[in-house]
Amino acid sequence: MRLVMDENGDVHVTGMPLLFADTLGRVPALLESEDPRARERLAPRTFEDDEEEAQWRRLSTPDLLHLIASRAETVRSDLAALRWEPDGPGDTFALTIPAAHRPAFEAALNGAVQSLYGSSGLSQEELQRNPGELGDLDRDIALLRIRWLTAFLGDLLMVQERGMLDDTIDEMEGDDTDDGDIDGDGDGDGDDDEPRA
Amino acid sequence: MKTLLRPRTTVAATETETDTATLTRVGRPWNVVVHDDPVTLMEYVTKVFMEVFAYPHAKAQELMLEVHQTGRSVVWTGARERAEGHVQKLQGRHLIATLEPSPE
Repeated sequence: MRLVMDENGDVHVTGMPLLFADTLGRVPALLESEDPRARERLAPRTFEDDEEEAQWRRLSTPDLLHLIASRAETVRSDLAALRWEPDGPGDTFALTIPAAHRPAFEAALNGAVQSLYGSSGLSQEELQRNPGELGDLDRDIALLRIRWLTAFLGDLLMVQERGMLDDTIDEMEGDDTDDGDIDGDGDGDGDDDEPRA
Repeated sequence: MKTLLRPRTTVAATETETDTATLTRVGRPWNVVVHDDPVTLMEYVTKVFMEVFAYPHAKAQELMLEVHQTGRSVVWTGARERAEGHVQKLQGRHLIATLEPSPE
């Protein structure tokens, strides 16, 4: 998969694998999830004091939910333009993210990851494991999608510095260690060697 | 937070911004606190701090690292109304942000 940012700031994604395109297509629904565990991640507690929190929930949370819904629509409209690449290496797709939509896309990706993390019930320890090791298909898929969406968000941030990026999400599909070069810098060190909280 | 990118610059000493002029009008200051979570990219957090608070990269990165290493960071202190606005922006970008009264 390749990301290129043009002179207008639009990001052109090509060579997007089918399974990743499917995951990306789920982002709006993840933002709109009604799962209480996802909602808790998307609209977290703000005050320790219960009265303050109740007031915040009444006055501010609706605005937050409206913003999230608006972002979901923005991403949904961009994803509607997802197109199959007839001359691609296989079942790959292309997508353009307009410059004006990049901030919404970035926030939406992080929100989708939060939603998935909350609704899947994955523990922090499980996040460090490889998809396929959790012994539960739904949780393994959730972990894989979290990895992909996080990697794509990282790519979106990095392409703004570099202008062009050859990502390895397509390679990750066949990588049984799944800690490969998701930072896309070509040195293959990925992120699993780095400290995490 | 998940690590994606390595620090680009040496982190400089910083201080938490306080809107003291506003404080004298509306009372005690409030802290905007950002908490660590295991799925948000560190570089994304840095970018959000730069966008929301207009912090330079070095300061934004230092605060991000404090979140990552200690579990939380007071990223802004000041008048309650502005603090609430900052929390709304941080939560709108899906960072785990809370408000707490600043110790006197």
